[in-house]
Amino acid sequence: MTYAVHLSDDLLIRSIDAELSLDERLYAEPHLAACESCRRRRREWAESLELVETCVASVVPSAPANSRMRLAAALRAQSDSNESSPIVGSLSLESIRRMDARRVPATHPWRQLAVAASIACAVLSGLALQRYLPFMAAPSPDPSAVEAGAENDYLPLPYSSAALSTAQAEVVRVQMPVSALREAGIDVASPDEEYVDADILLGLDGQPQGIRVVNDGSALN
Amino acid sequence: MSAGFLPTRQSSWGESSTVGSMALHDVVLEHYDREHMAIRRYLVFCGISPDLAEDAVQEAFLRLQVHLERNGDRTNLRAWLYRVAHNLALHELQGARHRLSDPLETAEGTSRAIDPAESPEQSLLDKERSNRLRMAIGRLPEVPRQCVVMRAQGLRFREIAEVLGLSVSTVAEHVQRGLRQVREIV
Repeated sequence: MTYAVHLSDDLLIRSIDAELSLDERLYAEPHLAACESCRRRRREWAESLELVETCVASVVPSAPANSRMRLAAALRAQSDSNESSPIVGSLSLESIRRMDARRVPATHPWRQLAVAASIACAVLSGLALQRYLPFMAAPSPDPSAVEAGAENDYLPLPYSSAALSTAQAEVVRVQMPVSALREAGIDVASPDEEYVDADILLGLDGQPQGIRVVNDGSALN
Repeated sequence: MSAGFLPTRQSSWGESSTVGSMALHDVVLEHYDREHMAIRRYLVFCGISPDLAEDAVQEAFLRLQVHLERNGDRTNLRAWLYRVAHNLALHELQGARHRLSDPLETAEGTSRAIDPAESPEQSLLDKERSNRLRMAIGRLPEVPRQCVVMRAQGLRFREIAEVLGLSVSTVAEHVQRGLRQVREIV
């Protein structure tokens, strides 16, 4: 049978993907069954789609070898942070993303982000614990345990190791919400800033040991 | 049934996704294993550099965990992931980072899957043809290219429509337009 009006290309393409409505199917199926021209056009579209599928699939984008491992670590850090810290729980993802970590030496930005988020979370929860639940907080390390020098203005965090040494520690710079710092009893001399830079001293165990605000030039407390 | 109206692809995997007793991050990693290469490939065809694609992929799956934790809609997580990665790579992350204007430039940084059973001559011919096709796809206007690549990776028209915020018929038009141009070039 020959038809005066043939099926549109749009209908043919969607028929290949079985994405026609019932009405469209009732119209298109009998037409296709009887119309060699439309069957041929449909075959051509199907071949084009297959060609493109093969071409696209043949492209193997490069991905870092440790990408999955890094994601797994970041997922666990994110998950742990959300479970362990009531303060973190109230932080939006957007605010976590805004924490700008600059690890020394530099690593991949997303690792920095994951590390910064987990560190900031741990620091904030530690500070909150220290302020609101002082009777529960573990004894803080003796500030003198921190080696003298440029790092001696770090505020020790609860549960940090008394044997903290800057030689064994790593410094990570993050942006902390000023409101959270003030809530934790830390005076920040930047009245108009929403976030301030802070250096976090990390121990060998990766846990934050001390903190100092850096971008306004004032020491903590 | 006449004229082959059977579905050619499986329905979205996200529809039957359940967490069950698995830890949430394991569920996310399972999704990552299944979809990350396809998303990277899509971003490469969008002209996104491999570094930025990596960032977008990492962030998309981190957001997926948050989405699942908040009991977000799980009816079509594949389209959700594409949408998040697409928005991150093309809108949010590109501000400070370099986005390549020519998708072919990015595609140069990729490799092509090679069938070990192919003869060298066949391999060369296939490679040449594949390069021509890839160039043809890369030269498509942005939206038809995105539609064609997503369709080529098994997304249904309604999923593509969801990712790009278009109607299904508009997506079909873009796919049709894209395929026609690819055919003309090749």
